[in-house]
Amino acid sequence: MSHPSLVLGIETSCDETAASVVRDGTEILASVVSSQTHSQHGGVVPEVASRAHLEQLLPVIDETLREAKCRPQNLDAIAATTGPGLVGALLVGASAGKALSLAWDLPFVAVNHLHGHIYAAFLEEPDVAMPLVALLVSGGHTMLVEMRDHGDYKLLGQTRDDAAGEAFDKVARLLGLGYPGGPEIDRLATEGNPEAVRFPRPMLADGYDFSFSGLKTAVANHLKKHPNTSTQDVAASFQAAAVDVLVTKAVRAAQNTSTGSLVLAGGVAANSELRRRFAEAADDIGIAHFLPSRSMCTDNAAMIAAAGWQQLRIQGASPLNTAVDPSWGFAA
Amino acid sequence: MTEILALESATDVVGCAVGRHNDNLVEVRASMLANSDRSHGQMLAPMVKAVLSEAEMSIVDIDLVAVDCGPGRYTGLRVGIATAAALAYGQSLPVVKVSSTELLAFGARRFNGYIVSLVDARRGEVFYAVYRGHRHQGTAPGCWLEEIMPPKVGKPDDVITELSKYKGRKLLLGDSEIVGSVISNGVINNGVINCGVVSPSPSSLVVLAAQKAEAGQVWEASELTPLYLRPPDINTARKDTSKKDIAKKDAIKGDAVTRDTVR
Ligand SMILES: [Zn+2]
Repeated sequence: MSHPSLVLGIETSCDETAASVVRDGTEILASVVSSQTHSQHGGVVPEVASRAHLEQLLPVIDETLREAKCRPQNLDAIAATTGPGLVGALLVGASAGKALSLAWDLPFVAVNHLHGHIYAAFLEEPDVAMPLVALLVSGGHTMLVEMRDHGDYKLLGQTRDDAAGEAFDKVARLLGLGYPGGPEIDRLATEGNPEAVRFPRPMLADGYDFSFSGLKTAVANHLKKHPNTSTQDVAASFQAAAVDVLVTKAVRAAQNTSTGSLVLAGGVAANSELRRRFAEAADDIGIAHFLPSRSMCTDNAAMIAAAGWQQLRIQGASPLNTAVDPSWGFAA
Repeated sequence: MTEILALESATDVVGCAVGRHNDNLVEVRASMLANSDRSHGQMLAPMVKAVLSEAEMSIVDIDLVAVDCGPGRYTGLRVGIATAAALAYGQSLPVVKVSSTELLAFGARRFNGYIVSLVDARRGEVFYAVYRGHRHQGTAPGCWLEEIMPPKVGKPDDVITELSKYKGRKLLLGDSEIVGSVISNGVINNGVINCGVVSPSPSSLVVLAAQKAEAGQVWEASELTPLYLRPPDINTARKDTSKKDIAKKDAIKGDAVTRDTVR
């Protein structure tokens, strides 16, 4: 049986309109990401996002195909994110993906965005050893996942309240920084003392679940009591606490499972302190680690095409009446 | 001869029809229609497939894609336009865009008087527009519609005010609740009022599209834009969604992807 090789991926789950052509799930021929700016609203506005996706999607797909020098008749499948994410935003990409599969008579593959984030690793390192443990951290998600094989996932733990990226954004707001707050905190923290304030490490000792809302509250309380603490010190100390929890639990998960490698994924994986500590901790316990490049951490469609390619091989195509699922969990 | 694929997804109705325009005949060869609350995104693509197969056609036989561009429900509207645009892009086909209000009115185009289309706009408002039917000159059958007032959004009272400008017979069209909300807000005292409870029909869309195409009103897929008629509600910002790093459009070429080194 010959496996499909060229997959067009489509990603519209949040505020990035993206398309990509990937060969054999590993080689990116083109990947175009058109990002919306929602900074003036202090967060992603679902209706604004949905409108922008509809305007951007076909131009982005067209640019992707031209850049990949790929004609529709060379494609083997269309993969689109169908969850989790903003329902209106997801529907734009899913509808266009289904229609293109009809127009070009190709299989349609409905891809879980979270699976996509893990596949970002395979795009740059096709030989990541499995089983692997992935720490998936973004604005919407904070989870530890064991991936035993392609299509075989086990959720080890996740946040009980705020996502890590959410905590970064909320703390950035407390510090009067712009949106999104993650990159700003990352930058300021390099100029601050991470030991200046000893913020709590919530749930550090127990299990694989996370909790970040208490940490954010601790920062708020500290700022109320000590308004003169330098912004740099607060940013560095908060970041140290958050990273501490994330890395400690990832390492614990790796040690308690028969893990071959540790993978970092999701938008917060672009944080330089998290990358540094994650790599260091993996080295300490002698487990191979993989950090996707920053452009592969944030939302893109190459990861969707890569995940879709594997899914097609394992499960086959998805029906055209597949519903988008805004709260699709990790389990396949 | 033109084979037309028509998509309706802007209102409570989700549907699809395929028809052929040949000389002075428009023949609807297959159509499907469902009243669906919020599953347009699930139903539309399978309907396209089913309608084509019922007509014993394939997508490559289609010459023209027609779609209802609203006003209507934003989510369904986008499902319809994303589907139509991708089909047209994928097959390099021209598109015909119609408004939901025109499509409603088209069904009653032989009415002698003003045709007032009403579409639910939620939040106690309606989308409304006014048309008049005229005898058609081209080969596509029937009458054509003159747009007297383009689609607007307003309260039922605004509709009443607007209608008082038009002397003569009027026909109010829309689903029963919306027509009812306008009527109960004050029956217009000048001119005869008739009401019709109708939904936009994909079969009507085939005929309307044939007329428009004959009149040269065809567009490219990239020119399909929804008629929202309202700015987006920005009070629903997801303050909890963090997005990192990429602030501007960037394209990553395969050979340019580099693995970051950690300092
Ligand atoms: Zn993501």
